[in-house]
Amino acid sequence: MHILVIGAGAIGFQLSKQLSQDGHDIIQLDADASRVKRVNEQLDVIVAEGNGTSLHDLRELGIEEVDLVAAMTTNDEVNLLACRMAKKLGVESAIARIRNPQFTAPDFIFSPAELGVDQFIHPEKETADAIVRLIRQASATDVVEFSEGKLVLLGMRLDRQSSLLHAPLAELGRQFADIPMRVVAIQRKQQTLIPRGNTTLLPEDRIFIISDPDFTSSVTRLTGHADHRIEDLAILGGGLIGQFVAQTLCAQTRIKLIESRAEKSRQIADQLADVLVIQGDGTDYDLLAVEGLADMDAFIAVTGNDEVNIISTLVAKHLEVPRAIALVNNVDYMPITPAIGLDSVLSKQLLTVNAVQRYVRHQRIASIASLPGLDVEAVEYIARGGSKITQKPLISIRLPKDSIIGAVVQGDRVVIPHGQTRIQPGDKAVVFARHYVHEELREIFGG
Amino acid sequence: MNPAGTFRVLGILLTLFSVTLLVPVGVSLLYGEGTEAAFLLAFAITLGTGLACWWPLRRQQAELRIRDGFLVTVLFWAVLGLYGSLPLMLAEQPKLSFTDAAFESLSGLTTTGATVIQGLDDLPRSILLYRQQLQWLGGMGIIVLAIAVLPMLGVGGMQLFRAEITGPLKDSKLTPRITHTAKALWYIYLSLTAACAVAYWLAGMEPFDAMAHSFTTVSIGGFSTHDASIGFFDNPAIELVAVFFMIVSGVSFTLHFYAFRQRSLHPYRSDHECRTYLVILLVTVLIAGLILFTHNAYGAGAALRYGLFTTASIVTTTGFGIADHSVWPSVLPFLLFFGSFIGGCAGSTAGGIKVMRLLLILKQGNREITRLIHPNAVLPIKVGQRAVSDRVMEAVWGFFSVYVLAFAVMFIAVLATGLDLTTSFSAVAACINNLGPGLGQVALHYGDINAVAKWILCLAMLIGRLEVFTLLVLFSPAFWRK
Repeated sequence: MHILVIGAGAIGFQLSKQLSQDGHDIIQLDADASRVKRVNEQLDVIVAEGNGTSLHDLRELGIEEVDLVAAMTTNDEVNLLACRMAKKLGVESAIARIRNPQFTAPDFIFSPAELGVDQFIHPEKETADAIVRLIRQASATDVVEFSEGKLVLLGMRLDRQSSLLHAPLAELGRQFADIPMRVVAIQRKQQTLIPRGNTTLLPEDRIFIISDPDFTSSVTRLTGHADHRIEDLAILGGGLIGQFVAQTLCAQTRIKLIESRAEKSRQIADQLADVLVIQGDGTDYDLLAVEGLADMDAFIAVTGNDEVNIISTLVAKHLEVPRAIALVNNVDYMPITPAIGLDSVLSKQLLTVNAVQRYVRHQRIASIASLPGLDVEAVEYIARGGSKITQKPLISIRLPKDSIIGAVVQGDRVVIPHGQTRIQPGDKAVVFARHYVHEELREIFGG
Repeated sequence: MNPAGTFRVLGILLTLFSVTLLVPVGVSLLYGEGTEAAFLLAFAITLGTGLACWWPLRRQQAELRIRDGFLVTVLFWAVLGLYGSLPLMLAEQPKLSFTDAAFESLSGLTTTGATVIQGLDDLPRSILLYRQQLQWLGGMGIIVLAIAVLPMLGVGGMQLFRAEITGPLKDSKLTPRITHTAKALWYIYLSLTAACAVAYWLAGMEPFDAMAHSFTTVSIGGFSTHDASIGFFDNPAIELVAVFFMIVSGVSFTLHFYAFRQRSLHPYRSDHECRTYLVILLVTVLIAGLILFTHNAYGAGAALRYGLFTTASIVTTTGFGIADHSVWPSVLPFLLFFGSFIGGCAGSTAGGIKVMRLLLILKQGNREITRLIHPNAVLPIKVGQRAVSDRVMEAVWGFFSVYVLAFAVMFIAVLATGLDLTTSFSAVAACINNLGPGLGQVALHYGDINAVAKWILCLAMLIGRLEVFTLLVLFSPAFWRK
């Protein structure tokens, strides 16, 4: 597909990189020369200096050959106008990144069709939703839903008391046959492993388990964690993400929100009456201690500054806050986060890129998630009638080496597949694999 | 620095190159020449080395960075020069010494076209075709070919592409994917070669010669299968075909791409560099014709014929000959040699400094003059509609000075080996500009000069083909620092 990505900031850059890797032809546009230079040096795409709302620039880039426009600048108005113009110039579909929720509100005066947008992407909202899922699933480091919530992927760090240690996975499967779950990826030190039946888990492994959402508390117990509720939550950073999280959770949770800018703090205090807003610096150890961070059930750092988020989360860990989540936008930091003791890390970029990928690929696959710090991708495939996967029981189908089928949704039923399982046309299967074998998988599932 | 990745790619490239050695094997079998053993041995050695580099590292996934791109490109050209010389050393004929074989092979790959061999007409056809093929592969670049046909190079291919392609503005990709861009370039190259071969054949060459010469015309190389070069045929129609395809191949392949896609000549007409290139050629042809007409015994027709062919051949840096131009009034060869410093357009297969750089330097000079009259004027340098950034201007000036400096140093070095002034000047100019034949002792072939001079000239050819900086960056201590 020919895709025009407007904006080459952090999100636009990651998006182009990922989509180009996925096999699409990317044209990118940014008004800033240094960003254009960076893209030119690092990505295999065409990039030009220009403005997404300039008719001349769009024509110059050959807009008539573009199938999809993804407007990813930080300016809502630019994104909306660029989408509208692209649509008018004959582009088939358009995705707009927005920050202001009013544009997507059901009672907004323009419908998405009138705005010329097929899909809104709201990075701050996506991130806030991911954080809320994590808070609700207190001991998981990662929570991703698949198949409209019929499956959930949990990332967990294994405790020394976990009952999953000391036996190969195949045996554990028999032992806990009543719990529908499967370990699909293991992060051990810096490496990501795709487990096999004879793999044995070690303490301190970060494991990824796919399971039925009704069984998450049993799964949590097996990993050696107590399944506790979060009652006190501290949020660092009163930006859009912090506000969304506070808004969603303030009914069930006591929330303290720390914001450094005085004006902003007052504004949030006005808007969110149930939230205690504290004005102060998040890296100020005394302030965090005085505000009783040690007694909190959870701490989330979502300022716009990665370094502040990392440091303050480390402080929270030091004060033994049971749950600490950091927003780290710079994807380059991802490989080092487990090494410095951060296990729950979210990236706005990755979440946004995943959202766009979901849209771009929605013809062929149902869902996709790349997990921070992990070089395995989770993709939900729909088995097509007549495809290779539906022909034989799984044991006689050659799947690519670096892949594992986590779970299958047949109608409303969740099945953890084994060798004799036969996948029926229309079934959804969540497959974990290194990114380079997905092409092969797509063929097997008849994408 | 990523040694594993570097060797992996190097191995892949050598393996790819080894396959091309099978073509002469076929030719040898076809004509029953008995050279297949030499080519098969060279094939085995090259393939073996390639696989030895590649196979242990085939799982290596790390991407090449900019530095690795330079390293791979330079190493590859140097290594290829050596491996390409194998058949020339191994075969019964011409059985060259190591120095001569390396010189011949590098001269082929860099599309220089300087030869050390006399008696080409008596050589087996497999060897002749092999030399032509070397030039053809070197013209568009084997690395570009590898990027086109081998998807496993990945994003690293981009770094290699930049290191190998010519011209000051290397960011003009034709399509979003580098592999597609490389493919497009090779398709154009292939079509031009095929068209050229057919045209030669129609003009009267026998099929083998037509194909062999089309290889070295479109690559702007200049190797021939005859000692007398194109002059062997003494046929104006063939000369016209050669002139046409030399000039066309000196135009940027980006323009060919757009012209083909839009099915119109508009891209050529509207391109500033292309117009300048044609004007330079036209003016030089007229001057050359005039000089020949006034100084010599030629009539107007013959003067124009020789003037046209020799100018096109030398200024585009091809290096075909139809007459011994060293006996002409000495102003003319020198004029043409200076012309070869300009060379063809950026992004073509021609050598030299490139018309684009000259154009930018002239515009810069013009700007300084205007600035004396209007001290406060804002004067962007434009090529066509687009302003050229000062960064590019600096790079062009840097290139120009280092190119001239490199020429001067090598000129002195070659003089120091004992060659005379005319020979040294023309040999270094002919090699750094990837032109080929020189004047004086090297007017016909390079067989008689000393070994040290040959190695210096090898370096000159590499510097010219890789446009100075790709090669020189490896000599910078900062490049090797972690």
